[in-house]
Amino acid sequence: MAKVELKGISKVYEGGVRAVDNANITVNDQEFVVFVGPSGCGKSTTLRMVAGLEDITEGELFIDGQKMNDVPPKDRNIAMVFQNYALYPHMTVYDNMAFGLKIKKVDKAEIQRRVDEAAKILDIDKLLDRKPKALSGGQRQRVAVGRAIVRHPKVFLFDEPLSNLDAKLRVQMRAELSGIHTRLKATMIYVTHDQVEAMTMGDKIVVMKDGKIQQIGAPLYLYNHPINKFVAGFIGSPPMNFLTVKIIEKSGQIYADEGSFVLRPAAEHVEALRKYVGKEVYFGVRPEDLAYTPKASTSENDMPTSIMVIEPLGSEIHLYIKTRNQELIAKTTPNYTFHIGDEAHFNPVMEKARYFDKETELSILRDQESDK
Amino acid sequence: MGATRRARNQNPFLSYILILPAFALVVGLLLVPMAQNLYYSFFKWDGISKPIFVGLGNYLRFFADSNFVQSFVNTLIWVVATLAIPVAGGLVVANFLRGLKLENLFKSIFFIPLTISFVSTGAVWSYIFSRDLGMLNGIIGLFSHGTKVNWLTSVPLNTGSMIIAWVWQQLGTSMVMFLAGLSTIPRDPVEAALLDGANKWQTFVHVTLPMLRPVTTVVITMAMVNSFKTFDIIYVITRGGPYRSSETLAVTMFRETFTMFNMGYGAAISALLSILVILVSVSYIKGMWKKDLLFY
Repeated sequence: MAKVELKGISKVYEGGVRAVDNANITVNDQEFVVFVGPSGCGKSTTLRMVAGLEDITEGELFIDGQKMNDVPPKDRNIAMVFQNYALYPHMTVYDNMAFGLKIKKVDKAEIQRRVDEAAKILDIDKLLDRKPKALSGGQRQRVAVGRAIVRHPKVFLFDEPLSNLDAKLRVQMRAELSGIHTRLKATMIYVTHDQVEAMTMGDKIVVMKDGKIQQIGAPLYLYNHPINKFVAGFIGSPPMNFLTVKIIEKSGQIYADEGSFVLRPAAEHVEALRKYVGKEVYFGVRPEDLAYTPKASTSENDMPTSIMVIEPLGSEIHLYIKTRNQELIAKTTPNYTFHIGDEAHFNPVMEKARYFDKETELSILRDQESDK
Repeated sequence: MGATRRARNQNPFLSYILILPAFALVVGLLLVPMAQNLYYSFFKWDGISKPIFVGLGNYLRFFADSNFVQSFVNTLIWVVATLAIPVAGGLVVANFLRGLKLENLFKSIFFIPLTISFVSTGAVWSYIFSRDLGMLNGIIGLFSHGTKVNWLTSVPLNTGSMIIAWVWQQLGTSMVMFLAGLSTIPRDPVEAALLDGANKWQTFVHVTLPMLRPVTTVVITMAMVNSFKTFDIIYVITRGGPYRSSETLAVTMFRETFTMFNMGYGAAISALLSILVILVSVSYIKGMWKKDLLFY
């Protein structure tokens, strides 16, 4: 297995479109790294440059310490699982999985052994004589994974492999892929637009937007310490709420004034916010960090809202609520009964709140966070 | 879809009315003449006097007729050559043209010959191959004084020469069809093969070509049918000569029927030609179908 290093990698298409801009990523040996971001953010292009399917315009790519910029895909010892499975439609499942080994002239008995082994792991050993058209989406994806496994590649690349599966199968395959990673101890790079996949599968997440890397870190680190408003909004479901508040100072104490209520920031945030007194900032709070209080609280962090939409999900309830000026989502337990139009009071967990500069959208707390 | 199905179910009579014109044309201009042709193939008939029933006589005559044997051999040469060269050539050209900056220009260049009628093509190539005035011998003459090749009068060079003219015209058809086919092949399996360790040639042979099979089947079937019935280009360039040496079955059928007025014999050749075309193309398509190679 191998370490993959992207050093200042950029992809510029004809006409000057910069699909990937100065990407610096290190994927350590046996690490499962997820590239996540919205459509068109450059995550797939980055993956394809690692695979050798796209030329690298600027920067250097190293696999196992060896520069790969000009090495053709076939010599990179990389396996890739595609979104559309990319199975060879005219070959049986066995031949699909054995193709790469046959090309490399691996001994027939060895091919048989490896295909059987992978087929057993993926529970497709009874499908080996079938052609792809006779398989379901989930089975096809297993074959595609099997085709990658049998080659014992240095690096596995996954390009949105679960996007075409239904929700239930996606959850199942997600767990299976994580299991395969643990079992094979392989270096894996996984591209997805689904932040849930990123959070649940990755050892490390690379968040991308408009061709630029926004932040790299462990899933929970990104969740708790997003570097900017985009990462804060992208990681987590339902997404983080952003309220425009004005930072004010009263009797030496810092407050965030929403207009209809005033919040008192946590002690550890005060210093960073002091520089913003008199200015508007984004106050970010996750739906799960809005604590519902059945009665109007007399505490200083009481947020009076009215309920617009109720989404009961069984284990939890999502409430679409509105302050006097702004809308947000709250997540509560199903222990309470709500009615549309009712007034509801919430107490934000101020220690978990984030603040973002209104112009740069960068986290105001990022300096103290980078020390952690 | 649902609306269409409903309309059909509600008024099947309308459906029959709508297909009637096409059905009448097929019956009147194809099925009836074919049946008539088959009928006359069992008669000796000059087109004027009363036909005389000869049973399988016309068919048995094939074996004793050296012109027919030569024509049959020429037809086989035509079929093999015009299958191999324009189909393989079209595939190679399509593959190389694809993605080129000047793809459209080259596509047009290769396609232009197809827009010229067979008769004009024949006339142009007659000039090129002409022994004394031809361009080809002119060029050869530049390098070797006095050499004049009988492109159109020596056997089997005359058949070969005409095949070149045919290929020049037909290459564009298969090229365009292969280009269309190539554009429908998804990129992912090809890229998967490259990542599986295959080089470009192996990817082409093991992935692209098999995925192109539905188009290849159509191209081959069309080329096969067209080459079996090749007539006009031969008739214009050599008229099947000299001494009927470059005739194909279609030309022999025409000559026997409309020049020598052996209507029954001509009909028998025509029937044989039809049977050959149907047998070969149906068994080819059936073979592909059976092996599950036509659809994925």
